Amino acid sequence: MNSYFSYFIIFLMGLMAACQPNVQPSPQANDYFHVKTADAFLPVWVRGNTSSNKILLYIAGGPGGSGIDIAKVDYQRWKETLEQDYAIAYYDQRGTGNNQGTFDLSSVTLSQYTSDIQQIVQLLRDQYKEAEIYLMGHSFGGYLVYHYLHEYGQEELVAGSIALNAPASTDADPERWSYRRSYLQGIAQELVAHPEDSSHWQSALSWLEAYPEIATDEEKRQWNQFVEVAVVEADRPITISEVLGVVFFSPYNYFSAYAYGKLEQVEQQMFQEGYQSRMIEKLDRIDQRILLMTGRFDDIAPPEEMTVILDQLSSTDKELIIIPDAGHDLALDQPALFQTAIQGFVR
Amino acid sequence: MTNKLYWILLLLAPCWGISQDHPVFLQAGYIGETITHSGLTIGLSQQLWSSDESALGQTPVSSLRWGVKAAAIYHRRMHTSLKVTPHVDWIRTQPNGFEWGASLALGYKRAFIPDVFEANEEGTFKFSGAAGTNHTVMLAGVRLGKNLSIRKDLPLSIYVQPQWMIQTPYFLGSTHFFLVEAGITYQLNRS
Repeated sequence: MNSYFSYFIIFLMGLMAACQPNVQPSPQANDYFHVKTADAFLPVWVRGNTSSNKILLYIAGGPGGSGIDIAKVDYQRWKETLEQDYAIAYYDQRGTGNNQGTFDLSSVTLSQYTSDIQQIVQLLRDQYKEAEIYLMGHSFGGYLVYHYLHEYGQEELVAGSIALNAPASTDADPERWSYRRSYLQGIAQELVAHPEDSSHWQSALSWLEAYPEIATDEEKRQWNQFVEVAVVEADRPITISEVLGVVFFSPYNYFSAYAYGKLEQVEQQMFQEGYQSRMIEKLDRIDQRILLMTGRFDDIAPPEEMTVILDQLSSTDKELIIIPDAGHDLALDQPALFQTAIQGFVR
Repeated sequence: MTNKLYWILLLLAPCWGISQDHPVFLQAGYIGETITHSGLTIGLSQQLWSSDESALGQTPVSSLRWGVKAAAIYHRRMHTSLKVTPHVDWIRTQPNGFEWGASLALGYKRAFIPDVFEANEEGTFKFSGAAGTNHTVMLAGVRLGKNLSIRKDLPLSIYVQPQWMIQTPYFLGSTHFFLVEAGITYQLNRS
């Protein structure tokens, strides 16, 4: 009985070992595999038009966002848009989603996250040999793009990088509140002429005159109260069928991904890492091709900060696009403008 | 230490023979991780104790069983798992054959993660179709069923058993799964 069971296990393993994924270029690719890196098995889902020979490696925001989850519900609605033109590689960052493996919290670091990106980039180049790889990071994911380019940019493994709604500063950086003050100044001057909120923005301008710096928690709260009127909320409700799809019909165990406070610990760990990194001072080391995009009403990555980032990058091929009537989810707020900008960059 | 405990339990569990005095049951059925990720389970168990077996069908009867189950679950893009779990079940059988009870299990799970690539020292990638991880699992379940030997004179029971599984090690300690098992129990040595 024991020997038959052993033979069955060996047969099963042999069967699995023989079935290496055969990634062929396709206008509707749907390839799924795992990258083992530093004791973690990171899932990678390549979907869309691999025949284009252009793959955008999507780096989710958060920290703690799950790229696989975003792909499963098609949160950005790229299945019918961007994925028709290019392939997008979604993945779960270490400690998020349904990571498997024996890693622990000590490996959840900016350095390891960028190393993981490097591993995935190398694997994509290995599996899709004709394809150009682009990084596309949103918010915290864009912050990781800066870190990746700072660490590995010289190896020139990626054809270009896109940072969407991606600040380089953190809450620990004094520069951040200088940018935010400038942002409030800019939108208040722009919107004070609108009759419906005129008094609100007039109050904001008066407050700014009284407070040349934003430093205390009370001043930061006041700033929030002023800017939240202009925040553009992404119109993307999650439907019950999408939730059911994620829970019951996905490469998911819901409890690993969302329950029991693991994401909060990852988020805190990455925030602490960011507070010490001072990426805002290291941007001049980045000289690779890069596109920065933000929304005019993004209060997390305000255009005022993105302009400073653009100026500090050493790249000769760099561009900043500010999308009008868009906030922190510009791909959802202005999908057509977003797609046009991407098509212009990924040529 | 956990591995040694598992091996001790595995060794102890089969250390009984098919006895004329104690009913022995074969069970087989469906097991689904989050219900829909399907698998199969088989097992063998023996009744250790019964409150009053002769009164089955006349008054409620409690019984205690122990055994071993093996399960294979296919969660396509996540992992295929093989699980071996010694378990203890408490079952209360009503005079009309309705059964309810609870189950506790502690065992071993091997998760086979599909399509794994790992960089080697030369900078190329080696492929593994069956890389995976080892875990200790603990399950607790509630059993609902029908004993068909009482009204229909069949040595069978049908059951459904939702269960909660805790798996360790995992990132930040453990993770949890919800499973549903449904199947048939067949009494091997009915007199």
